[in-house]
Order: sequence, then C-alpha cells, then structure tokens
Amino acid sequence: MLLAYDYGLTFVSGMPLSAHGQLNRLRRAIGMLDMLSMRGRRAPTEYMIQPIENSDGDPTVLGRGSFQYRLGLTTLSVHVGLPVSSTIQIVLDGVVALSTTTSGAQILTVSLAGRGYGDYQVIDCVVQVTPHTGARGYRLYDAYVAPVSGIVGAPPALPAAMTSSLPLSALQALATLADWQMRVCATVTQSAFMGTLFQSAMFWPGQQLLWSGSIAKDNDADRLYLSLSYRVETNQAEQLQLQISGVGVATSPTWSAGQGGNYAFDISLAAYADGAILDIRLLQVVTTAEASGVRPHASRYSVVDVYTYRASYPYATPVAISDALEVLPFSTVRDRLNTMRSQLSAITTRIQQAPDVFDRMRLFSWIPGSDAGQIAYFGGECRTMAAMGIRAHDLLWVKGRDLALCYGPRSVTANLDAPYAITWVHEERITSGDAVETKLIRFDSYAGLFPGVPYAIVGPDIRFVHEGFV
Amino acid sequence: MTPPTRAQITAPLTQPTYQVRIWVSGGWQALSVSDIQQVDIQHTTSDDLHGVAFGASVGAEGSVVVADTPTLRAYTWQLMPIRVDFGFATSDRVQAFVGIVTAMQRDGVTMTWTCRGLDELMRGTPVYTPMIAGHLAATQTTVTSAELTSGGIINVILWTCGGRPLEQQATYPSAVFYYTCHNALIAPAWAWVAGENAWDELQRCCKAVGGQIIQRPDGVIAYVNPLYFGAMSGTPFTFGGATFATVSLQGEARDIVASVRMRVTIRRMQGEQTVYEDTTARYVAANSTISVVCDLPVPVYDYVYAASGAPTLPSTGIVATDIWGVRATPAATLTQSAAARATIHIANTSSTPLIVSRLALRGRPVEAASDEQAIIGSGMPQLELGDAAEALVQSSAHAAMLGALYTSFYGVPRPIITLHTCGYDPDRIVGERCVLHDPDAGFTNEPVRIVAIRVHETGATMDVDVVSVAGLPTLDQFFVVDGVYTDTDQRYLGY
Repeated sequence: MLLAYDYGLTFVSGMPLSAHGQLNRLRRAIGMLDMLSMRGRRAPTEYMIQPIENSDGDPTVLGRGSFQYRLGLTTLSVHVGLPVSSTIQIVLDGVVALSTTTSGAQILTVSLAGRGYGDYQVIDCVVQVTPHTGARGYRLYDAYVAPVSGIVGAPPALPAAMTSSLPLSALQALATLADWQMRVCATVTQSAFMGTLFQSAMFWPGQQLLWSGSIAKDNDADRLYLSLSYRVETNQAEQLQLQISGVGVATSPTWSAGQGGNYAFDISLAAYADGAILDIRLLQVVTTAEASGVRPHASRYSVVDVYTYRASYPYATPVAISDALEVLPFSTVRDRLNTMRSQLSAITTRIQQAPDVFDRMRLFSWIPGSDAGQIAYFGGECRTMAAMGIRAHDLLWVKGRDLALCYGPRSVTANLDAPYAITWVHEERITSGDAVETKLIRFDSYAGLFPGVPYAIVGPDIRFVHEGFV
Repeated sequence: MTPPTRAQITAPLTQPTYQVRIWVSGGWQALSVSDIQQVDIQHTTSDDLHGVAFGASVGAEGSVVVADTPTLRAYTWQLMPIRVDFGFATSDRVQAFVGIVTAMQRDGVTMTWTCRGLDELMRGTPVYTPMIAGHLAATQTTVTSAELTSGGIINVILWTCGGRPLEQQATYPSAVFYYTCHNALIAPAWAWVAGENAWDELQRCCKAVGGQIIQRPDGVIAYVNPLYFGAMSGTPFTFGGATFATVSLQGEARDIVASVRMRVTIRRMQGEQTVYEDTTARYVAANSTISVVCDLPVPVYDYVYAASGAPTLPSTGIVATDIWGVRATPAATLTQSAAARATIHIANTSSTPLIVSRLALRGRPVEAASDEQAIIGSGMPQLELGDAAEALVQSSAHAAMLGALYTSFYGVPRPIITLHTCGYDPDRIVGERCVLHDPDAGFTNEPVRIVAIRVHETGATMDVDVVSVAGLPTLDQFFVVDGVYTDTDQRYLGY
C-alpha cells in the first residue's frame, strides 16, 4: 500500500534499455506526477474569530499553529488583518521572533535563519496582539513557511529531445527531473484539516458563524469544495450560507427539525483572481426556531474539509506500456522517450507556475483558545474539534498531548444537552500522559487504515498533524 | 617454453605434463612429480540440470592423489591452498585449478586430498556490508572502478572476502583472489549482507538478478551477465565429432519455467531514529579499551556520527561514569559501520575505571514496509524463487524484470550435453561460447556454452558439459544506452 514511486532510476551506458525497470517505471512515475501536479489547496482553519471576540487578554492570541522546519526553508509568512494599529507578535517555540506595530492587511515575515532548528523539527508558532485594546475584527488569513525550492533546489535541466541515439546523459536527466518533481510533491504534502465534530450551533433565529478560513485560487484549481455533515434537532427552518469576502455566494437547502446528513458546497471560483486571498465564512441562518411546546436543542455541524480543486483534469495520455523483449523500430522507442520528456516538461512548468501550492508549506492550525479554559473547551471537554484527513501518504507526523488516531466506522450518539458521543471502531493511542510529544507513525502499522480511508486525530492539545512520505 | 599452442593441444599424440603446488610456510611449493599419482579437477557453473540456470551453486572441485609419504603427511592439510597446472611436454604448463584442501584420506599407500575452489573460502566467511542503495547488483570492474563506494552488492561481497578486481591486479598484487564482473541487469533498491556466508549470498544475488558466478581455471571469480551466455567473440571453437569419444544428453522437465512466483518486499528508508540501545553495564578498566559489537534488529542506511563527521559516537550516544558516579566522556569510535552490525570501540584514557551504562546508535533504518506476492508469466510449471528473491526483490518493476528474465532463459529445456573423453584442452574454459557440430549425433553447428569441464587422468583427458544457447538473447540484440541507431533499426527492449 505504499507510494509506488521509487527514486533513483539509473541508466548505465552499454546496458539494454529496460522495459520494466526503466521505460515503464518512468511512465508510471509520470502518471503519478501528472496527477499530483494538478492538486489544489486545503484551506487552513481560522479559529480565533470567536475566542478573540470574547477575550481581552494581554496578549490575546490571534492564532496558533505549527510547522515542520526543513533545512532550506528561510521565511515564515503570516497574513493578518488588523482593524486598528496594533502591536503584533510572532512567537516561535516560546521566543518572540517578531514584534511590530502596524495596521490593516499585512504580510508579516520572520526569517528562520540562525534559529538552530533541526531538519524535521516541529516548531510551535503563536501570533498574538499585545495589548489587546478590545477592538474586534482581527483576522489571521494565512501562515506558511517557504521556499520549498530551498529544500528541493531548482528543477534540473530538461534534456534535449532524442534524435538518433539514446544518450546516457539525456536518459538520466529525465529520471533526475522526475525525482525532483516527486520531491516537490512529497515535500509540500498538506497538513490535516482542523475540523469540527458535531459542534453546537444555534437554536434561535438569527445567524452565526460556524467556520471561517481563507484560501487562494492557484494551479487552475478553480472550484471550492466545503464538505460537512449536519443534524437539525429542533429548529423548524435553517440553512447554511457560504460567504466569500463578505458576500453570500451559495446557500444550502432549508433543513428542518429531525433532518440530518452530509452536504457539500461545490462552487466555482473562476471569477476570482489567482492568488487573491478569499475570506471564506460558513454561517448558520436560522429562520424559524423550535415549534411551540418543544424543548429547544442546538443543531449540530461537522465541517470536514475545505479545499480547492480543478473542474477538469487534463491528464497527459501515457505512452504505451513496454514489454520485455518487445521488438521495436528505434523511432518508436525514441518517440516514447520524447513523449515522456514533453510530459515531464509540462509537469515542471505546472509546478513552477503555482508557487502558492508548490513553494509554500502551510502551518497546521491548532485547536483554538487563548487560555487553558478555552483549549479545554474546544479540544477536551467537548471533543468538538479534531484534525481530519484522508490517508494519501505513508507516514503521519503528529505533535501534541494525549492523542489518539481514530478511523473506521464510527457511531455517534446524540446527547442533546451535551457534546455528541463519538466512538470509532479503531481508536489507537499514539501519545500518552501529559507530555507534549512529537511522533512519526506509519499508517501501515494500523490494520485497515488503507489509502483513501478517513481518519481523525483527537485529543486535548493537537499541535501538528501532517502526512508525509517515507 | 611458451604456453601450449593449438598444434600442441590438438596433436594426435599429446604428452601431458602436470604440476601440483601447495602453500607451505608462506610460499608455493611444487610437489615432486613422483609423488603425484592422480589429479582430477572440474569447473562447473551450476548444479542445476538446466544449462543456463542462474546462481553460483558450484564452483570448482578437485581431487589430488599423492603418495602417503612422511613428508606429505606432515603438512597441515586443512584448508591448505593448492594449485594444479597442466601442460604438454613441449610447452609451459598453465594454471588449471586454484583452491583449498577440504578433506584428506590416506591408507598408508596413497593420500587423497579433496579440494574445492575459492567458493569454499567464501562459504566460511560471514560478511557484513554497508547498505547499498540502487546500484546494479554487480557493476563492471575496471582499472579504476571504486568497488566499495559505487560497486554492486556482488562486488562488495567479493571485495569483503579478500578479492580484488582482476583489472586492478597491479594495484593489489597479493590479493587473496581476483574477480571480474559484468554489469548486472537489475539494480535492487536496497542490498546488504548481515553475517550470512558469502557464497550463499552470491548465489541468492544471482538468482535475484540473473546471471552466474563461476570460478575460472586461473582462479578468477567471474560474475557473468546472462546476456553474455550466448554471446560470441571472435571465431568460436568447434567441438566436432573427432574431438570427443561419445556424447550424451540429459534434462529434466522440472527445469522448464512458464511462470515465476516470488515475494516482493518493499523497503523504505525511515527517518533518523535510535536504531540500537543497550543498557548493559560495562566496566572499562583504567587506561584500557573495550569493543562492543552491536547487532541491529533492522539494517540501517547510515549512522549519525559526532558533529566532527568522524565515525565517533555523539556524546548523547554514550552514558559513562567513573566508579564514583561522576559523568565521564570516553571516546567511542565506530570501527565497523555495516548495515546490520556496528562495533563500538570505547577508550578509557583516564587513570580510573569507567562504567558505561548506556550505548545508543542513531541512524536511518531501512524497514520492510510492505510484503506481497508477484506472479510473472502464466501457466505451469511455476518456479517459486523463495528466499533467493525475498531479500532483494523490492519493487514490482524488479519482479517484472526478473520474471521476464526467468521465463525467457528457462522457457525451453536446455539439457546438459556431455562430450565424453575429449583431449585435454587448456584453452577451453567454463562459460565459453563454442559450436557443437556432430550431425551423426544430431547436432549441426549448434551454438553451445561450456557449463562444466572435468579433467581426468592428470591432465590427459576431459569431459565437457555444454548447453545449447540457440535463441538466448544476447546484448547485441538490444537497444542499449548510449547506442546510436537509425529510425528503422529493429532491436529488443530490455527486461
């Protein structure tokens, strides 16, 4: 069940051009790289909206997250929106790395050079305002470390098309280019989505923010997908509204008491500019509360994932599969190789033209909360929030306290006046005790957690959940 | 005199000469001809009845019968190096066998030394190698080939056993033996040896990538790429009806392969982690050293050394105190850094004893991450490769290549043809491509490969096993890397 990419395809002068070991391997790699290079982006969750509206601490946390430092990364960038002139601080592993006073929409940057971080070390990041004057409307749109090109280097040169020979240098250059592309795709794997599990919503008329985050359109991924599940307990009429930059762009059907299920917003972003940050908000709009004589109970929502994707995927047509001892004219062999060369070239171009997807590694967002009480509320007592993903890789890096990996069928028991009780068939402890631990786990160690299977990391203090390749 | 000429070799009446040399007191000593009563030697490429079977099942064997004299009896015969040379009265002798004595039998009149080739030396040599990532299983030996850094696992095993490339003989004039390798066809993702006997490992390697290991009469160990089995250079020697007395043929249906079944164990390098930890308390006396051998449960690609880059343990890897409990930092050097074994040399240069209470090695292990079965080809008989493939076949591409290789080489019966009682011919060597032409026996210009030579009667006659190589693919039939072609050139794609 492992990733079917093997690095280090080599050619040797004077040795036969291999069908299975070289041509088919390169062909298969290109198919995979073609798909991976058409990926969109996942939206980081911005949780601090509600906590900060209710908190005037000093400092007041705008957002917390973590990134995995890799040798070659140079800069942490944080996109914030400040309603008034404020002193904002970026704290890395407990050390104030930036303190500046500014206002409006800003991209704050922190150099990662000289901080003594080791390769693969997970670094905690807190963005905070100090002092918080009570103003409302702070935003934390995006946070990422870059450049990935500093880790993987520049793309190797594309060799010239082959004409009347099979030059070792050209063949090896194709393999090297494919390896570089895979390294890019393997390096910028995405963090798990910090979603909600049947969080309580309103049971009175009005509207309430259920989820907020931001995303940018890039790499031709011009559709937005927001998947959720819902359960309306007593409200007679309510629906969800999706807003982009404050403008309602889609609404769900109207649901009534007793209804529940899965729903997804799937809308076009074609009208928005590439790279522009889109402020996404999901609101619950209750038009009619419970019927007379019915005891009111909150509706429940799970926001499972928010990401962009392409409306269509123009995959390159693979070259013919080669067979051992296949007898061919040279022109056919050369054409297969040159077609693969062109396909690799197109993939490189795609990667280089989508820096938001392939040159930036986004921070994993923590469970929100400025203080222990809030953290406990969001992460422990209610177990309302969890890091969710669908296995697409081999490994999972996790950092946190008292974490469990949950997957498989789950049962949900509706506790109308309390958090829903959720149990999974597979709930494996991956850290224990009160210490914050960083662990690397292999998905294959867990029976039934095949590629494509959804999973969740639950616990009171989830600091980093990020898939990776071996 | 000079080496035997064709005229001397093929003369109607030859006068064989022979010499047996043994390694005594640091030098080669020739036995008196009068003491030598009988010498028989043989070289083979495989113990399979299928003539082009992959592996290194059998190397060289011999038996030397000498007079049971007090002088010869006094020699320490166990593992005594021995060489046999054959020639003719009018020529020099040429080396025909290199090996060691493995058994002795005497009856007061004669003493028989049973000999084996260099494979016997390697059988008794446990080998630990570093992890080799993505190299062809065997790499072409040249005057400048860097065997330990860019060689394949076969090269590294041969080197570790004391061999040196034949092409580098001038640099290593006193090597235990010499070897020469073709490039193999397949590059295993990860290859290492963890203490297994070297000869068995070579056999497994050949079965997992195709090819044979043979010992030539001059003692050189050679890895032969299967695409050279049927390859010919120059004018081949022809075994005509006059060159042998009789001919026989034997084969077995079980040696035909229509499909191949094998385990594919996908391995992946893991992130840096503790790969060995030992909390055994060890006492290191003042001004003394100890060595600790660490056998790792999982092989590693590399180890984490101290910041200096020298192969020393980082300070976090060793916990030591003096006998009063005061922390000490003795130098801990890795004197062996194989994939599955490390040896740590701990030096206490102080004047008080130390107690080492923890040793830990960090590195990047290579773990089996997935295990599946592959069946290549279709129909019966089906060959199960077993442990021959288990260690080295680590990708579906490797399985596909190997399966195609087996079905094309084992797809038709290639029985052993034995040419009995040929005149001894020192120019004939195992692995040589020849022609068999004896229409009376049913062979008309049949391309054959010598797979065994058994010399009898102290260099007078020999039996030769050959196998037909008709239809076997050869390198010149393939598109090769760096080859120049026209659009209409037709060739095979490789495996």
